[in-house]
Amino acid sequence: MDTTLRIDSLTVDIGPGRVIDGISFEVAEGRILGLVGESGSGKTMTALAVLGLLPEGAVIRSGQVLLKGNDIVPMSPEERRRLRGKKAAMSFQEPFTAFNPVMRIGEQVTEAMRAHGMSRAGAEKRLAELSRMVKLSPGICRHYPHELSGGERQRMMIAMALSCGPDLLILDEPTTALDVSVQKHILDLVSELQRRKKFSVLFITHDFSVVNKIADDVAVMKEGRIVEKGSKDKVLKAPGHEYTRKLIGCIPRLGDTRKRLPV
Amino acid sequence: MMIEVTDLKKYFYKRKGFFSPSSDPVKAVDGVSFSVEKGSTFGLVGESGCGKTTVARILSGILEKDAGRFSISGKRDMVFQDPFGSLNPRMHIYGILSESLKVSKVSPAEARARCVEALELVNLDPAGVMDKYPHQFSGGERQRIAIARALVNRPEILILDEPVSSLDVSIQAGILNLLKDLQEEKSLTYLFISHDLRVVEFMSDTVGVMKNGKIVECASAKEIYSSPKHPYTRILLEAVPSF
Amino acid sequence: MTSFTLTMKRIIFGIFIIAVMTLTAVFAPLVAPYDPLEMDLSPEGRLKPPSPEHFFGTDNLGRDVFSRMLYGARISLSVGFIAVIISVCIGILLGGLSGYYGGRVDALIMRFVEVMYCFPTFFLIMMVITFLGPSIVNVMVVIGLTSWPGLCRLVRAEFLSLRERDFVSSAKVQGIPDRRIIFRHILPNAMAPVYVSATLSVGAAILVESALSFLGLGVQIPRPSWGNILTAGKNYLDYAWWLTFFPGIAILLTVLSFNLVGEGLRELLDPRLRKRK
Repeated sequence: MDTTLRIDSLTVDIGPGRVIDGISFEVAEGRILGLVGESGSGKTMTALAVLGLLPEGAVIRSGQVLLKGNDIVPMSPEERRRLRGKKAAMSFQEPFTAFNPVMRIGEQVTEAMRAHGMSRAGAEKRLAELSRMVKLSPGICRHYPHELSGGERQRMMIAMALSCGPDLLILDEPTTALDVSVQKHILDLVSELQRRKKFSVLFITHDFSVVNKIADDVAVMKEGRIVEKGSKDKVLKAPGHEYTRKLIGCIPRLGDTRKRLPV
Repeated sequence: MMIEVTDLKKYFYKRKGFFSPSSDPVKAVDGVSFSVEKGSTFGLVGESGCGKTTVARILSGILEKDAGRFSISGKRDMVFQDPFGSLNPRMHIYGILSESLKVSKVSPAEARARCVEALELVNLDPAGVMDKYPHQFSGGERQRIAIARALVNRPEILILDEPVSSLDVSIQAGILNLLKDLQEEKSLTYLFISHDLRVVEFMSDTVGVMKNGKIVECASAKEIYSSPKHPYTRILLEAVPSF
Repeated sequence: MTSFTLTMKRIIFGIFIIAVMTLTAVFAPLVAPYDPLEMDLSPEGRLKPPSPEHFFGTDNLGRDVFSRMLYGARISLSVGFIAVIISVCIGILLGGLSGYYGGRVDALIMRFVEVMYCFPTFFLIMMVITFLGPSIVNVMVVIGLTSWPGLCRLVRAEFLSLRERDFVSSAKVQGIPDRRIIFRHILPNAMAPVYVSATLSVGAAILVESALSFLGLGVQIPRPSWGNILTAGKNYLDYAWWLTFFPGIAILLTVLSFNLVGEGLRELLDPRLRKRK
């Protein structure tokens, strides 16, 4: 099996602090990897490293980030920019702040495509196609971000991320800010698109039940390290690491009969 | 009954534009009734915008009701969702905890004793906490401080508005356990508000499911989760990813 | 990082100039080599260019410009500070009431603010001074009474957003009285933009005072102020440059310093800019 993304002993520092500490994992072609961790575990930093979008002051100390076999660590910012969108694209947690409030949704999606050299007419056509793909009517593209619901914005974020047909889609807590019923639709949409288009997904979340629903493989992150990784069934049914067990155990489930939660 | 709410209503009027002074009201709370027994937890669950927080804010006295009645038999206090926003960043913890005591003319010695007691109840070390400022604590610790502040006045009723929603899951578990312990120890009555059905089931004796300002279904937690009657309740339950 | 140190440098430069100005103004009687009102009408004493004896030269009546500048600094700075204190007090009071209570109170105060904005402030000040008669006290009070609307809006906006914060709601739940909520919970959190705006206003007030004195509506001769030293000097522009140069530079430096400190504070206190550190 080929790998779409392969991270090899990546270490990232911000100032004196180590935010990613020698992590290695891979996202196999056509599979969904759930990267699970709590706030501050370094999971979002990992996503930004893959896109070459680490914040100012962050330094990659060592390691490789291989996108389809190309290491992006030694690349120039311009080379990385060209890869973004085509090789890897990302959708953010809060789609409200990720969109420019004074630009129509459609313009923002086509802007990304035009930046990658698509003609205006081609981009317009693709936009209509994309919005149907995420199950929204193309008319919605004429609206401004605040006129859309949270779920619609998240769908458009995903549409934007998919606009250049990336090999890897990174989703950073795409459902955390959404209501449960909307959350379900987004998860269903992601699974369906992934099955149809066969791209790979790096799905970042703190919620094991979401991982259970969507992922094929799981990696658990804590304080900048990967403490456990493997297939979903293995990690969720027979967690090997104490931290994984704790994270799984401390979420109440429906029909939970426990009086107290393990801490 | 510690809390009795009958046909509570709250409408918000939003100005549409300059020439149309008021549009149709947003019916945030539209005829809500429920009651909570002493020592029990009433869970109010619903999606964003359903009006659950407005109910909490009316019962806690932050907002005025438009119609209906409610009675609260006993002292009440409230814990908010975001412990980063609910503690004044410019006051030290002792100041935050003791403020309401100071206002109600409790002697300084007594106030100090009560703050120590409240911090011990939430498992924080009073000596190491009182002189510090909110930004020196983690999210979970701040939420404990917020709970301690609510306990300082020795309330009988706590209104908990999404008290664990902004916390990491492992921290969340600790706070939920703490709330259960406190309830048992002090026989507190809780109004527990959350969007998370799993958390609400874990905490509550009775559950009300809210949608568009109304309670669409209200029953014991067991019943709601084992045999939901209302279609909306079923939709919500099915949407929860399980494993 | 570099932008942070640059900001600090600006603030320190500004504070340094302000401190020097303030100290010389306070200790003017000790520092000044001559009595600012003492004339020397002999032809040799009048319009002397700067020299070790008279640092900034003498004016048309043979008075030492340096000494007059020091006493003038007293006027300019005290007008600046007192006018701003008056305007800050009014701005906080009305802005706070408006933002905290909202509704009718807010509507009333905001309409008043708009009315104030409609008047061209400088001409309003001139008009009032003409009626009341020119004096330092009048100048201070009138500048203070006319420069609060901007600050009022600023405070109102802060109050509007702070009153929705949970720590304010929490105080309400706990039965903390309104007055205490305003002064203990909201106001301290609303002060950052007030400091910025107040610092900038000091510079602006000094400028207005200088302009009024220049037009003869402020401090009356023979008492010196930077503005009226300039006026006296303008007739001798061709052959006694020091009469206008030094007061001009003093006004420029002072206003610049207050602006540097104000802008620097804005950058330091703005949480959005602070995060980048």
